[in-house]
Parts: sequence; C-alpha cells; structure tokens
Amino acid sequence: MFSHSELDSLFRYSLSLCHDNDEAYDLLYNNIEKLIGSNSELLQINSKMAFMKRCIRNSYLDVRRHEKIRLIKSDILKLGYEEMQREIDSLEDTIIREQEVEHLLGDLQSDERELLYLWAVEDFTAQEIAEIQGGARGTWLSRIHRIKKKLRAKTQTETSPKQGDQI
Amino acid sequence: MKNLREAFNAHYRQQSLSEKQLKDLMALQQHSESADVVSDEKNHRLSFTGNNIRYFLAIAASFVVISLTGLLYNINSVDAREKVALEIAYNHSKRMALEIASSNLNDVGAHLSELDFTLVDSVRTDESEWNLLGGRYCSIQGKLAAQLRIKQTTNDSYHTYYQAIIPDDFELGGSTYSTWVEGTYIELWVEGGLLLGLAGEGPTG
Repeated sequence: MFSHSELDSLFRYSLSLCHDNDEAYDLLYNNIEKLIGSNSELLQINSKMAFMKRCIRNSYLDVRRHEKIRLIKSDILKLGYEEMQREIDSLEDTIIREQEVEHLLGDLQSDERELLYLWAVEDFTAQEIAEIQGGARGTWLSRIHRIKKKLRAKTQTETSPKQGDQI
Repeated sequence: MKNLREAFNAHYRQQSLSEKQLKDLMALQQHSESADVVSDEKNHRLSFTGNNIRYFLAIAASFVVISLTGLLYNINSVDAREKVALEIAYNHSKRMALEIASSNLNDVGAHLSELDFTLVDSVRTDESEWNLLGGRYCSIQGKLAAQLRIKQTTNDSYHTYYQAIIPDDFELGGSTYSTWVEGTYIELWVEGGLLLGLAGEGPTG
C-alpha cells in the first residue's frame, strides 16, 4: 500500500503536527490500521498520500480540538493568493542556525509547524497550504505573522549580548 | 547558517522511521488479517478449565457489571443521538436558502465566520463523489453549526450536510449512527473533532 519512502514522508508530516516522534509514529500507525480495517475500496483510490494526510490531520484534530478552539474572524476575499504567497515567501529571508531549528519548532503551535513543513519540505504553494489547513484567509495570514514574530524574537535573543558578557 | 526553508528542509529530512517501525508498518500492511489471529490467541488465553471456578465467577460478575454499565451508557447516548438526528431532520425539511453559494469549502467556511470551529474536509465526502453547493448557519443542540448543501454525483441526489461542535455528554456509540426520521435518512459520525451529519432521501452507499 505505502512504500518505505511514502511511510517516511507521512511520518514527517505527522511529526510536523505532533512534534513528538512517538506520538507521530502512533498517529501514523493508527491511521494505517484504521484504513486497512475500513472499506477496502479506500485502498484503491489514486491519491492515497493526500487522502492519508487528511486522515492523519483529522484524527490529530480529533484529539486536540477540545484542547483549544480558536475563534475565526474573517476578512476573506479581500486578499488574493498572490499576497499570501508573498507573505510566506518572505519567510525565506530569515537566516537561522541549523541547530536552532529544533528549539524554534518547540516554540511553534502545531498549525504553524504544519504550515512551515508544507512550505519548506513539501514545497506547496500558499493556495495549496490554505486548502489543506482550511479556515479564513485572515487566520492564515495571522498565522504567518505569529511565525515571523517568534522568529524575530528568536534571532534577537541570539544576537543580543548576555548581561554577564559586558562585565 | 541557512535560510529558513533550507534549515527546515534539512531538519525534517533527517527525521525518519526507525528500521523496526518501518518493519512493523510494512507488516501491518502486508498481514492485515493478522488481527484475527491475535484475537483468536486472546480468546484462547481466556479459556478456562474446571479448576479455576473463581476466575469464572469473577469474570461472570465483571460481565454483569459491564453489561449494566453498557446498557445505561447506551440509553443516554441513544437519547442524545436521536435528539441530534431529529434536529437535523427538522433542518433538512425546512429547505432554507443558502447564505453562500460556492463549491469551495474554504470560501464557505470563511463566509460562516461566526462559527467557533473550522469546517473540516471529511474523508467521507470526497470530491470525486460529492459536489459542494454552498452553506448557511443552523443550530445543533443550541450551538451555532454549519448546514452545507451537497450533491452526490453518482446518482444526482441532493443532501444537507452538517458540521457542529460535539454536544456535551454526546457519545456516538460506534463509528457511525444512522436512522430514519420521517422519511429522511440521517447519518452521524465524528471526524476532525466535530460532529458531522448527513441527511437525504436514503443511504449514500
């Protein structure tokens, strides 16, 4: 059904949501198990990877939805996908040390990690990411702004001298 | 130092399943019927001989307790499911006009911005078989919910499709719940942390 590389790819996607290796593996395992146990016709569908990602995302939300429900305030249809694309592409200007990535990921919320994963690793466009993540365009843009704010805070912390260093 | 995209890409590319995890997942895919074997083994382990009557009595007592608990649980959950099904059947029968006509779930979700949740793209209403026509607000158990209108392309039948916050104390009691309410066929299931419902003239399968 899924090859080794596909399983690794699905695992990475799960990891972008959970940020925990064991939880990501459990999420993947449970969804494959569910898929096998369900209607066998599902195994014949063409876009298995996209379908599986949607299953993984929905079952992750099943668990987390009650932990935090975000109110959606919309300013939709005012901004085009081009503007969203510009916003996300501007992230590319950020320079970061490789060893800081893990710390940064720990500071991000799951929807922010997922967005960065889909953009950086899967190479999805803003429109494709928005279609996967759903929600209002305004919510999506504020997600990008939150990421930028956290990135700025991170880089400022790294560049500012420590108090003890000045003595 | 790398730019953010390269750094993230490099980080995630380093993450992969262990040899054992890969092996387990491949085995799961190749031998899905192994679940039956495991189940048989468990049943075998639970079999008892005449020498351990105490075990038998303990198991029998547990069974009675579990059955009674299950019965009470079912009475409550059936009641909650029926209430939701009745409400959905009522909403379906009103045939209210759409507030937004769109085949794009994101656009519909964005228009229904007062909802306290994001609409989910259910795996059961795949685009290959279902066309979204639009949506409007409705109420399920006193909370704001979404009523979508969708068309099943395989038989050109129209359905109303509901997404709502799961009501307090609501238990589905299975993967799906289906019932007929005054000539309307209702299916309920939980997905993406939401209660989803489908109403139409008959089963969709």
